[in-house]
Amino acid sequence: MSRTLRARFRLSRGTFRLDVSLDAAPGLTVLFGPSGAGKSTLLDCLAGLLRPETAEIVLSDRLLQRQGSVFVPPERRRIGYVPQDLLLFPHLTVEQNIEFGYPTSPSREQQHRREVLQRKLGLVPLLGRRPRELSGGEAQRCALARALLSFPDLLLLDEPLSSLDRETKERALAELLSLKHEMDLPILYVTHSASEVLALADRVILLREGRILREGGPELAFDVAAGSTDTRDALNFLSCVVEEGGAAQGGTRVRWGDQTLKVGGIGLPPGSPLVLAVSPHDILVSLCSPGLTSARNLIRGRVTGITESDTHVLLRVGEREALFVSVTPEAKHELDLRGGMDVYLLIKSTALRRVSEVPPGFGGQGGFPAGRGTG
Amino acid sequence: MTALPPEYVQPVLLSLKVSLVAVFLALPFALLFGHLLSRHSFPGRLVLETFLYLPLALPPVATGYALLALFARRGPIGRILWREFHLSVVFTWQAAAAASAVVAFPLMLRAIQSGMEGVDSRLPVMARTLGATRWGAFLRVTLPLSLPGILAALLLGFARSLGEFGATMMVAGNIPGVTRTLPLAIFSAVQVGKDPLAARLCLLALLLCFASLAAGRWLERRLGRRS
Repeated sequence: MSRTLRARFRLSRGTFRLDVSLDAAPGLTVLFGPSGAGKSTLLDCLAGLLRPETAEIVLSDRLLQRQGSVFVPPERRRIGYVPQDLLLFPHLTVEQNIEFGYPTSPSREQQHRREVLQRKLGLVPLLGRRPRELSGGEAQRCALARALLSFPDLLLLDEPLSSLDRETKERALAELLSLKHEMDLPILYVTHSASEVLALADRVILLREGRILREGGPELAFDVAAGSTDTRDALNFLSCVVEEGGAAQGGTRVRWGDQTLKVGGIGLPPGSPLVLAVSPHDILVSLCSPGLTSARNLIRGRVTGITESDTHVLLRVGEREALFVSVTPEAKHELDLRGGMDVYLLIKSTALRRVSEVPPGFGGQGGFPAGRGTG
Repeated sequence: MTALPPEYVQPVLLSLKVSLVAVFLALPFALLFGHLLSRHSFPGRLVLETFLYLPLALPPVATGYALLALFARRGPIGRILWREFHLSVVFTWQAAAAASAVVAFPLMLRAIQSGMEGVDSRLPVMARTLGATRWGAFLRVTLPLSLPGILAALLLGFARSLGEFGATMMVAGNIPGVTRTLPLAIFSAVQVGKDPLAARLCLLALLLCFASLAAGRWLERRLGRRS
């Protein structure tokens, strides 16, 4: 069974018109556009919360909607939804929340996935709490787990990170990135944030005034994101696997796509997945092989995107696994950097830092002072 | 301490029984219409709402008379009950409970409706995306979240029923030991000049109301702390 979404629909609400036709394969598709573009309306139509006038929605070979003849109600669509304000059930504990859509007689695999997800999202110490006793990041993870444990065929995320502070957001991005790799399902992700687009998008759909303006792969994500203002904080997130532990000297070797990277000692056994982050400002570009340098990582790649503002230039280097590199306009000029050129990237092993998906010692901190909320 | 004479005990027990039955009689209807009015708009909504709240404004005696006309053995509903089940409701304690239920209903509806309006309407929607049916979403999300409102409704309804007089007298009469509730007992005592009895019954009524209101408030606070 292929987990893909095929949807076309038209909806009018007053003066607003939504007229879209979109396909989504497993992986993360970002819906990007200004507010009022119809992003949330689109998600509501897919989830069955709104009834478009004309529609045909097919998910994993199941016909969910065809105007006049078929309308599968939300509860039978198998579409997980994490809205912007999360909408956790305030009268239930975290455990009851995440079990809300969990099957009453789960298969062994489902039980396993539940345990893994609870651990991965750091929810185990929070199970007895109520939503109002959670911090922003905790609540967000709880909502994500709740949606995933209904084992959907499609996941809708409506600006899930917009309310988080920067540090929490970074961690949440890393989590989403590794979840995305593990789960074989299409994810539609609504956001305004260019750094989220850069970090996550496999595909981008650009929405404006209820219509699809453009759609494309990661290159478009780069164009779209680089054109907006908040790329300065953007980070490269690298989803890696530990290749060789050897924490004693030379650090750890990890595999990222078909590259091998060296990072400062990470006490993880070979085969462990981890997410690394590196700022675009911490990567050097060289036109020729630089010979011996102190930088432990040398990557060869092709420039696949380039955008420029008055103060900085952002390059995209690599095809599928790409890195964003920031250089000054002057450097760009002197090196005569252009799309299609082969370049060398130098990264110090200390510039690659591990983004822990769940902060160490979690459960004791988390920003909630009083008791565990059992009463 | 000697046991209280039946002229005290009977009206108190009867009032408690009638009021309890009345609130649980009215509750399903209050839940049904509370949900309907808090979530849906439909043609004729205003008319329905006004009709449902009518017993609040109508003199209870008039409500009682309407009930009597409906349920008397020759009335449109009473006739059917008599023919099919050989049942005569009027002048029984059940009639007193029904009268109290009708009079208490608008207050209960008000509390439940506003309780349900306070529940974010997207929460049950969320429940449905997680696989709950409409009914399941109501039972698992809307209902528990409006529990404080429901509790307030039970409390208000119970208090209103305890004091019910006019409608009860019309449909249930004032039969000692059968339909003579506490308010009717007080009224009757004054009528026959037994002022000390009336005064003591009033004191009992005061204690009863105080206890039930306090119990209600206590429950409400416990519930408020939990959710």
